[in-house]
Amino acid sequence: MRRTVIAILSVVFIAFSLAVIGLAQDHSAEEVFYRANQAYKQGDFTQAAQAYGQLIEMGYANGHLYYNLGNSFFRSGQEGKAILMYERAYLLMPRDADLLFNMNYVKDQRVDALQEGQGVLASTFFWLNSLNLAEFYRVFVICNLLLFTALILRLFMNPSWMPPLIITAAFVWSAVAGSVAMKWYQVNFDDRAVVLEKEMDVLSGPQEGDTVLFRLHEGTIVYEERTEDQWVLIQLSADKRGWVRAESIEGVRM
Amino acid sequence: MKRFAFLLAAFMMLVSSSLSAADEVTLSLDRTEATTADSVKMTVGISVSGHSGSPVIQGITDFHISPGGTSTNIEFVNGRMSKRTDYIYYIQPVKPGTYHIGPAEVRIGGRAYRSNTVELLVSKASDAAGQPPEQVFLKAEVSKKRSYVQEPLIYLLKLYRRLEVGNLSLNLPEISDLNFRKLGDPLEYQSNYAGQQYNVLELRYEIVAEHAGKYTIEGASMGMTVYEPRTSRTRSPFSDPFFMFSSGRPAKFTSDAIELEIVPLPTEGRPDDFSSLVGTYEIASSVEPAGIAWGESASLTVTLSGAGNVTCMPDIELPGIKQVKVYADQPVLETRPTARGFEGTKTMKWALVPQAEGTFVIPSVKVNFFDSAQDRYRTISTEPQVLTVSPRLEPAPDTAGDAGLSGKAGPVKSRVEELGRDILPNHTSMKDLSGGLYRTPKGMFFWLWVLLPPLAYAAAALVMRFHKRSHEQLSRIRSRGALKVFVKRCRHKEMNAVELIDALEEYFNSRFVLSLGTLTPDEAGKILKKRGVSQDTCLEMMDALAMLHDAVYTGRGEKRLDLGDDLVRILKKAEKEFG
Repeated sequence: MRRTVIAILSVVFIAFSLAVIGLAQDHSAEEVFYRANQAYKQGDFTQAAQAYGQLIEMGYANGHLYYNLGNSFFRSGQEGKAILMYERAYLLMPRDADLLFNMNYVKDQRVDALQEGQGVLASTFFWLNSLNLAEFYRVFVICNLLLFTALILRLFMNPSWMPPLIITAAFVWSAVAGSVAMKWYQVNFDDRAVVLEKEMDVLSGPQEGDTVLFRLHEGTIVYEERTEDQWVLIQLSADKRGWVRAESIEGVRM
Repeated sequence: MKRFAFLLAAFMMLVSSSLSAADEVTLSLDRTEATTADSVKMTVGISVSGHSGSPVIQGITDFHISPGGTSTNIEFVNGRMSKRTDYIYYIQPVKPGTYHIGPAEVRIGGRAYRSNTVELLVSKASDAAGQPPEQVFLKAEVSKKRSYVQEPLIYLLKLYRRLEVGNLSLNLPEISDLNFRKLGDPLEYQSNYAGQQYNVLELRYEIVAEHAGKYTIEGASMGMTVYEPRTSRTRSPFSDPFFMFSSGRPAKFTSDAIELEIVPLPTEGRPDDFSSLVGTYEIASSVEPAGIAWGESASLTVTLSGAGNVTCMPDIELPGIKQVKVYADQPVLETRPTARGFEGTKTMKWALVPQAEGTFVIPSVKVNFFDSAQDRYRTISTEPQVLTVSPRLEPAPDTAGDAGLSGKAGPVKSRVEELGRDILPNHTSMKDLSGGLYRTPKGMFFWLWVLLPPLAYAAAALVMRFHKRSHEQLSRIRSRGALKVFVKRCRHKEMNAVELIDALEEYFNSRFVLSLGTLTPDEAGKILKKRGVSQDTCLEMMDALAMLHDAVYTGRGEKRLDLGDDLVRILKKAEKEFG
């Protein structure tokens, strides 16, 4: 009996401690967020960027924080990092009007005149950019629920409208499941990277002395192919490929 | 009162004028070309309400005229009656020439109505003297025996007949490099050939040669059934032409071969950008509207029309116009068959969006073609068009009078101009801290919601299956007991026919889970046969059951019978044979 009481008390204590730690962490995050916002308002954009970055490292990685971080980088004159953060924010909140406005504005400031493609996956399955991955999960859960509810009802009743309903539900379920898989692939295998340097030479090989093939400027989006030591093979288009130093670019994938 | 009378009179005039406008007199011919040996069907259609006499037709003094009767068509549409009377005439030209026939004039209620006029081209009939006239023959002609590459020719096929024919089938000659295209529907008319009157069936085709050279168009052949007139002198009791012809005989007629020479287009005078267009063409252009305000768009339309190899009409490219954005529309080609070949119209449109105010000259566009009538290359071009763009129309400023009428007038509108560019501010609400990355599906709830529905379905399916199996087992147990019950009832005592039928019905209902009211011998046989019981056993059961029914319906239903053992034996046998 005594042992049971001790055990219950121990469980209650641990749960309470975890809740307190969680609350403390939440309070800490809110404080950091407040400080970051204040720094941004006062024009200390470097400080603001550090604070937003800290929040992301703490696990609060959401579209708003990446958006704020992008703004802070842009204000501090780092257009490349700003575009990188906006691209990450776009994966998380693709319909946010502020983000779309700022991203277009900052991309307009880039030096390189390049037509930015959406990629084969996103242009073929155009609806992939309408929702983020979490929203796709929710839509899938709803479709899953509807399909199996219809199948369960089919076991008990079989009116004439049931077969077309099940076929339609199965079709929608398959389409949504496919979309979830493609979106998951798009987010987790995103090979885009953003140029962070003001000006960057693209070489014919992974060595300093190799021929300069072409020159890119800050904010341009390239596609990473493979990495060797501290060098990355990038592709801009079918006829524009070359090697750059790894620290000159940063991948969009989070 | 005077004012009312004036309004009434005006209304009556309006009504009467609208009625007159709706009425019409039309004149039409069944063809636009004929020879002096042909008769042409002319129809005068009168849609004027009221009584009219025969129409007076001008321009037919050089024709032999035979009346073909009248036909009247009355229609009721949306409660309104419309009547149309067609006067039909067959006219045969006396001499060749181009005739303008019409207008036809009728007087109805003291008012004269006039029709349109039509043109008829009459050529001299080919000299058929010396040829023995046959009852049925096929004749082929071409419009020209020497022509240019890509120049359309007319291939004319005429079936002359003085007998009834039917089941017609046509085989056209097949020649590579010569394309045949049918021109309109077949025509039927009467014609005089070598002094004999024939009924003629005429088919027209357009031929276009792809390459130069000498061609022989082999004869076209037409298969048919020919109905000879009866030779019997006794008159048929039926004075119908149908009965005056015997049963038909199959026949095939072939036209003569035609030699054709196709020469290449001349190289002299050929433009560098010649578009391979041959025939006669016209071009026209227009800008609608010719004056627009800045920010609006106008439409430029270029129409290329003519006769010849119309499908080769090229897509015209509009030269660039400074400070005008040009958006081309998809060209539209319309072709129509005529007696002289295909005619066509190609319409090309461009949307013009000026980028500034002022006057813009739309340059002319040109097309070249080979004019086969004049044997030379020609270039046709449009007139340059002028598009005037005025400053953007701003709404008129508010005036005292307008304000007094409408109450509130809106402010003067102006274009929203960009004065500066910058990014939008940060998201600083505390709720913006919530939400996560969701790179992969996380959390118990997600997987719960994904897996729970299929698991629930699997559980429900299992329950349903178990329930069904239990029901089937129960039915099986019941059905096995059915024979025991039947045997017990039969051996307990001697039973009469009614009791035996009752026992059998109980057996069938229990054994096969049925709800039969009355078991007939046929039904019993079918049920057993369906369960795999042999034919003999089925027949035995049907005989036994028929015997019981006979007993019941002949008043021996209450009489004791010793059929119980037989029935038990048959059922036991059937039980062994069940599939």
